[in-house]
Amino acid sequence: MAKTKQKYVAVRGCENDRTKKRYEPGDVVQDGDFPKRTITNWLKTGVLAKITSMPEKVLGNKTKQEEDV
Amino acid sequence: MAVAVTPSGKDKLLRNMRFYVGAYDLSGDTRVFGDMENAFDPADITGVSEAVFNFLSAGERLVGIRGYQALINDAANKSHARLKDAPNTEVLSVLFGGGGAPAIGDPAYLLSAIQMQDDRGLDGNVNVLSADFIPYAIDYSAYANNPIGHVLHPATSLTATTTTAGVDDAAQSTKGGVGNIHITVSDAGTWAFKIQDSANDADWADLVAFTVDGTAVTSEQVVIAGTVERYLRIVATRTSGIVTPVVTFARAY
Repeated sequence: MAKTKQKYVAVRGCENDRTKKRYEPGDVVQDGDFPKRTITNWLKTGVLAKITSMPEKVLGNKTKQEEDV
Repeated sequence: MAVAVTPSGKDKLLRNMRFYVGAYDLSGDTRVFGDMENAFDPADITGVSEAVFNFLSAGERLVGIRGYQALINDAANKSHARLKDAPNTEVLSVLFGGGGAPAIGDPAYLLSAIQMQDDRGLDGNVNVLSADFIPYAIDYSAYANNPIGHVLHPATSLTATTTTAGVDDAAQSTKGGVGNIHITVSDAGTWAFKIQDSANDADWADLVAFTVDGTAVTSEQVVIAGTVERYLRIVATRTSGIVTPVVTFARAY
């Protein structure tokens, strides 16, 4: 199974001069859109924030709990 | 005769300096800059038995332009009109062009300052105006860091969305900085101006956006905190019109 690319949300606007692609704040950036080193640096300086999604199973449980209530 | 740019960089002549006060270029009226200060006073810690003056930096940076002198010019938006009625609060940038008019990457001295006086006098047969500019109190903390930076955009007219070349400051810094913009010409069109930074001159992030939008001649200073990457550039995004922006930036250290 292909590995899912890690996704990030742009906190500040950013752009890649090589691909001429721009990401506005709120846009999703993923591995490969910028070099790994740039993404690592931007996570430290607040340009990007990592998106951590909740697993399906947990969501399912939560939904069930709400229905129970 | 054109003056050649020397490989050593020793080409910053008075003829190629530019002085922007608010939205106005007063270079043609400017005669003398006594001192563009960036200094630390020493705290004397010399003991009675020490043979050599012993000192520490007192830690307070002295910043400001002192001994400025301009020819009195009462044409619109020239020295008399812009500098009369002190005290005035102004955004100032001094650009040091090398071998010609200032260009991207040339040194700059920038302030948001109070013009403390507009003394009138005679120098020989010439009427002159003298003033000192000291940092505006609310921005003083920014200048406790550093007033010396670079030109990110010189006074060239823009007619289309423009991204400038990156200015290489050699290394990342972590204490923020200050940026000045002077909109010296506007035809009331609409623009957006921002400074971007980059660690590699290829992947750029928005560092700060100016509030001024090119609809009028005006000036603004922005103060930012935190990391500033090694390279800096300007992105001027056009919606309409023609504009001439001058932008300078100084890192805090």
